[in-house]
Amino acid sequence: MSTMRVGETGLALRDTKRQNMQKMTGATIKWTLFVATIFSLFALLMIVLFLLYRGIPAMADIGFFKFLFGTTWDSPSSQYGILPALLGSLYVTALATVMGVAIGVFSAIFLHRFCKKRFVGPIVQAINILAGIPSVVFGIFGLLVVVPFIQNNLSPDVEGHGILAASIILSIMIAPTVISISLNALKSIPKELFEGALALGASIPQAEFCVVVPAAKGGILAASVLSIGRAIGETMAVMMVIGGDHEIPKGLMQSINTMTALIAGEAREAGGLWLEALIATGILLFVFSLVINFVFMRIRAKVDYRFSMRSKKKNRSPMETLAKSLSVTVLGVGKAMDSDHAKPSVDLSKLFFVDHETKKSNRKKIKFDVLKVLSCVGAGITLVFLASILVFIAKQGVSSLSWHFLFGEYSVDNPSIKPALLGSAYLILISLLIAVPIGIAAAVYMSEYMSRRSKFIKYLRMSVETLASIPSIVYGLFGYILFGSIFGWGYSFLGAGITLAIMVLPGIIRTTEEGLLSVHNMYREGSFALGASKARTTFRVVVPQAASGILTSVILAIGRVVSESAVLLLTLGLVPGALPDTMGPGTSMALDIFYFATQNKEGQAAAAATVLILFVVVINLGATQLAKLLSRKTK
Amino acid sequence: MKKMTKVIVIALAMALGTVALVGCGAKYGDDKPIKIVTREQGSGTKDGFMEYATGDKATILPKGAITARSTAEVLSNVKTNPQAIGYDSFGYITKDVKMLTLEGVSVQDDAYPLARFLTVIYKSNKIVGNHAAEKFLEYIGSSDVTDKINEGYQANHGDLQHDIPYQKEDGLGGKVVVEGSTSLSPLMESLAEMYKSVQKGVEVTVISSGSGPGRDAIRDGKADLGMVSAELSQSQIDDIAKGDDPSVVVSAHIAYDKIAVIVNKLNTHDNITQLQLNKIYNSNETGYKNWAEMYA
Repeated sequence: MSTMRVGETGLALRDTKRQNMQKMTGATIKWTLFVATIFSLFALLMIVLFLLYRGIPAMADIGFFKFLFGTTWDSPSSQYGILPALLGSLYVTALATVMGVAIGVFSAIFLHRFCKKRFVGPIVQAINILAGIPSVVFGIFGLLVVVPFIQNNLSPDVEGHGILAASIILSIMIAPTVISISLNALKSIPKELFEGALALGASIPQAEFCVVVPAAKGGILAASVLSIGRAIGETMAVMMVIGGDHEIPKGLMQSINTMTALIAGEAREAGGLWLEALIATGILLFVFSLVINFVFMRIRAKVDYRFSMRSKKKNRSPMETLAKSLSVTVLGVGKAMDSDHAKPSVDLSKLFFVDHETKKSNRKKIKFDVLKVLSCVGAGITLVFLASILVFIAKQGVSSLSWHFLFGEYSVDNPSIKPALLGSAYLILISLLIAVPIGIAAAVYMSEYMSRRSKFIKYLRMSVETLASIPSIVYGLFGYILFGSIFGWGYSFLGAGITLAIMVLPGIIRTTEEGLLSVHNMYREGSFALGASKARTTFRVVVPQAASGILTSVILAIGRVVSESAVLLLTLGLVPGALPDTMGPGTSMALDIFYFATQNKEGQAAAAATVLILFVVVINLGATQLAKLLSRKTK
Repeated sequence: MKKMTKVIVIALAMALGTVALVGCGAKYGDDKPIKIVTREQGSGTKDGFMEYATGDKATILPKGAITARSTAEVLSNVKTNPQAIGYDSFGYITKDVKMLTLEGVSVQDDAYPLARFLTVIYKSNKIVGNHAAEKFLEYIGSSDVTDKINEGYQANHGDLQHDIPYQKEDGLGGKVVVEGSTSLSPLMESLAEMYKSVQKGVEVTVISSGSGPGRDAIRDGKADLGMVSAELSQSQIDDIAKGDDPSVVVSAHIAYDKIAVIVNKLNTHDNITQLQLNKIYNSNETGYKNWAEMYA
């Protein structure tokens, strides 16, 4: 901070009047930023309060013990016992995380070491597409492909729904995130470690699995914890393949329920105590996300935060940046990112010298070759699933795609997605108008105006990360109660837009902050040395430098808004033909897919999904190109 | 080793790919269990079906039933599982599944026993404040819409009249909000669209949410008309009235909707009885081990 004082003194020497004015605007700016920063704390507080306000009385009515350990969920007799769905959520999450992390980590290792270099780029791009597919599409795929496959080939009593189906779908959904974070962590391991291992006589797979992978375990752990959060909060896709019977799970292929499926399936039909019991279920989900978040914090606490923010590469795709910001900000894989601090946790000499050229070593080498094959299989599974989903959707949807379907006037017999396209655009507008200024302001305040060691910033980060970890269905319930009931807006674009804004806010703050922190200090120091004020330095020098990071955060937010359906179902209602109206109900792309899928119009659902996937791909590519352009400009 | 790896990976990928895309070997087995498909709690279709099959809409189903959250999900489940049995609004049934005759009566037949009225509800003291809503209500009960309703449902049945033509009112304007049952909303959307061509000044918004939200919307005054797919119970009427006298809550039948009992196309049976349905869908009954036992 001493640099700042030098800069201000330089200014003072020149012109006192101007300095006073600048100080005042400086203070105004600082306070504005501060207020924006407080907003995330405030939003979190609101969500917690409203959940508790509606949920706790319900728990008391039902009986706290009965709610947690009861096994009957029956609205006519007012019995609400959550235990079967709770166990269902836990089992599905556990199996999905194990499978998803295995597939993801092996795929990442394949991409990092065994894949031909010229294929890496396209494969990573393809995986980005997989990450952009909305969950309702995964749900349709699961219902029409995965469930029938299990019931006809694996299940003795012809049952395809249940934990296995849900876990398979979920593991494919979480694999892209795992791949991105793990790949990033693997890439950050200095080459010298790998080469050193080779020099000591290790084979390539041996060096990769014994040295590089253990060194990157921080990132891999990060990916795993993150997937747990994603798996427990996923709603739409799980709802369509889980079966939905409120029974204690006893096998992998049996109709059961999860908490998210329970909420999303019944919230629209429920009222009174029934709805409140669902909100109480939302509280449970919230508690789980808190616990997972707490684990995050514990892991991060062990790593020095400062080392994590050194950025080596400038042109990064949004997915990579997201992955990095997640792995870095959330868990501080910093150690692995910094060459001075990354120390392999294995004793090299022990590994390679002792049994060199013995039978044992041969067996060991074969073991690593098997691991290598597994990594190829992992990548294969990811790509095969991606290909099958895309082919499946395209095959079903292509016949329904037409000019009229895209831009024509909507009618029941001849539907079009024009209202949905406009609706999605309007939602993007509302939510970003709110979230982007607040998010950027908060990020600027946190990275430029606060001491990195203060306690307050710790609490701020904690609230931002807690907000980020809340399952979207809980946001949906919150918006449903606050805007729909308490404000009396019913279903409205405004209510839905604000709910989405709060939902994407933490992501924007996190990605922007990461971009700002990666701006080298010499820019700030140089600006101060030239006599610029703090505010001028921040907004004229630092923020433009971080433009690509900020842009990435906005693009990611757009992607999230466009593919969200669970939240909108509860806050926007579903009026397939309605054009956007601020205080009225309406539709969006993802909602239209859901609507077509539930109204027996699979062709239209798939066609809308095709459009949505294309849209996500285009923004992804556009963002990468824009980021490249921007960084070239700043150079 | 390198070649082997490649071969293994390609083989695996292709195997997985074909399996995923083709999805192989669906076979119906008479000796295999019956897979029950049902709708979620609160669904009007479920209430109507359970009332007929078990005598009480609140009957608890046997373990292991699949809960489908929409009409289309019921169809998908029955279409893909050869052992499945389910029920769905007749207007939605496609050629992908097989409809059973009930007690020997075909679903096309007027005497088909399993059906319910689709209903519009409103508060008589509130609707007089919105003339457009009153006129729209008149329209959907008029003979102008008979043909449209008959496309998937029945317009003239029992309590249903649909015999007076609609009187167009020049210069009528305003907004009407209709919310509720997903079974009724596609029909209502069509009717709203037709109405717009008759009365250009009126904007009818149909929110497809569910019978429950439909009732709540009438109670809270958020909608002019509510769509429900099951008869209102007395406690529901009291709840909707909220502050008003229960007598202001009016329900008007719009269409008569048959509920078809459906099975997979590979299923070899053609008929089912009310007694058999009760044994399948009622957890208090012993049920059947498999399809063969039911027809033994």
